[in-house]
Amino acid sequence: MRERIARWYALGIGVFVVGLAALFAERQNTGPVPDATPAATEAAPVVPPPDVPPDPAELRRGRAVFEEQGCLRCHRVAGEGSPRSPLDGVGSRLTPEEIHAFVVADDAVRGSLSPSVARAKTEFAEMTEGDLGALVAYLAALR
Amino acid sequence: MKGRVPGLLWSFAYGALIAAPLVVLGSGLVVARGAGWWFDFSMGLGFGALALMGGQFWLTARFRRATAPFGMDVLYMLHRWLAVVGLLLVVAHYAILRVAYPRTLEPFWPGDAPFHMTAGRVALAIFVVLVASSLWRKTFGISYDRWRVAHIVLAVAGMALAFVHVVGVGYHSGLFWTRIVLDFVLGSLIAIVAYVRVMKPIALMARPYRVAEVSAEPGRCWRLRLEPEGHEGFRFAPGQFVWISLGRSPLRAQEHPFSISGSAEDAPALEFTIKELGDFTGTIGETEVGTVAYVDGPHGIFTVDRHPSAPGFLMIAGGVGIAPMVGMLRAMADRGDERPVRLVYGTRAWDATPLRDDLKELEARMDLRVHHVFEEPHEGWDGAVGWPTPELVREALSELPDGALCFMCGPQPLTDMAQDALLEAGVPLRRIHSELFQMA
Repeated sequence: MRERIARWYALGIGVFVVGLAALFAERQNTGPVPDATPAATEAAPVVPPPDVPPDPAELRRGRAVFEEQGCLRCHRVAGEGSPRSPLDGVGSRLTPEEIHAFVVADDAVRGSLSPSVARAKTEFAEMTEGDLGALVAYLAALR
Repeated sequence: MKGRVPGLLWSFAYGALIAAPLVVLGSGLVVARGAGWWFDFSMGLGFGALALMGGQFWLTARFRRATAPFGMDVLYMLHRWLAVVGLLLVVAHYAILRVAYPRTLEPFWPGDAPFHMTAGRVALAIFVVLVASSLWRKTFGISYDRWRVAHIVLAVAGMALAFVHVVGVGYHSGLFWTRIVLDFVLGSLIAIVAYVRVMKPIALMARPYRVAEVSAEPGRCWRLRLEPEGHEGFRFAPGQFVWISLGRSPLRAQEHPFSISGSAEDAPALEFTIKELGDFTGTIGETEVGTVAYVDGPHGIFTVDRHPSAPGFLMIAGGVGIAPMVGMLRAMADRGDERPVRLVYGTRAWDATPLRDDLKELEARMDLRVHHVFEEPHEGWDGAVGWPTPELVREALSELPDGALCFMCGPQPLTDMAQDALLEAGVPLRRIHSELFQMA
């Protein structure tokens, strides 16, 4: 009898937790479609495309660095990776300098990042300048 | 009936504590951009699992006031079921990412992956090992003592790594209100582990007991008597149980639960009837008189004392499940309690029947009749043979006034049979009480 109640109670707790998680997901995602970032939907100031088209080899290297560094763990590009911080179109929203600042969480943007994110990004500052440059070029080309 | 309301209250409080992180996340106190339904659902499951696993520490801390309405035995059953539920939540949290967002889990290898992701993976593996080693401890051939120490170490390690994972990932956890809830869960866990594993054992060490008697009982059982040394011990209700550390410091977490089979009127002395079943109980007979012991208790709600108005008692026991019954019978006899008691008692044979002489003596001292059932009857036995049957249970019940209370303790097939028989005979569930025979 008590065992049966215990079993039902445990099951009830499980259903309750799953329900709350669903409620949380529902709440988080009512409103604008998550993949459409505010900058993409609003008439945000658009960064003009560069005069000289980027070097394809540089972009390939940038994408390789992007994958190597595990950027998809937190970011999404073309439907891959974490939907929490989509980077599609980031090149239209941010200048290469701003992108660089966000990649390494330098002092200019640190305040706008959560402490754990800022901490996670410190290791990206240790990349070689070539890798970092290629990564920024790749991101800037996401338009 | 007493204790029903607090029981409900505790159940709700426990559920509320487990739900707290998710309630805070969903309440709007925490505002974060959505990341897609399934992604956020997975994160929600992760937070829920963290709180549920944390709650397991509160559940097994043996807080007497909170456990009293339920009985510690059933809380350990709940602990098991909740562990399975919690593990499923963790697995779902991971599986959703694996399927829908596989690249968020890259890179895999600990050298390449950030520490907090490795921590999450290791925590998941630890939880799998924890649950599997508990559900199938005997199948894996793990001794109780080893399992227990490993269980504690793994549980603490798994929980610590889960926290490293959640804080390291940083979603929501850096926000003010989630931070408060997470700090509360973490703080309570540290406090509980410190209390249960350090402070309480140290307090027990200040109240040692000594083994006063060890003698053999039929059926590979041993009678063990403990007496407090230099302190007054405690009083207990007949039928309750305690955790004993025998010859070892309670700090080593090698304790075992046993029902008290001595009379509550004999307190503070404690007498137990212990069957040679596992690695520990198998060596009970070698215990020397004078060995130091530490006793955590009393626990449990399996007692006649909770039913002062019951007109009589039906007890159904199998094997060493007789221990709490004899504890209750002795106390009743010592108190001059004249209410009738009928005992259905299944054992292998008369020569393997623990406490048989004590029962004979008790039959003479009180309104008790014992219905022995032997699987292997001796020559000349004209009573029941085999296992206790529904008919025998009902026959014993019919010898008692209406409204008699039923106690059962023994192997599960026996208690299941007895419960069905009693329900069929019209005994309401609330008058049927069982002590779970095997807690771990």
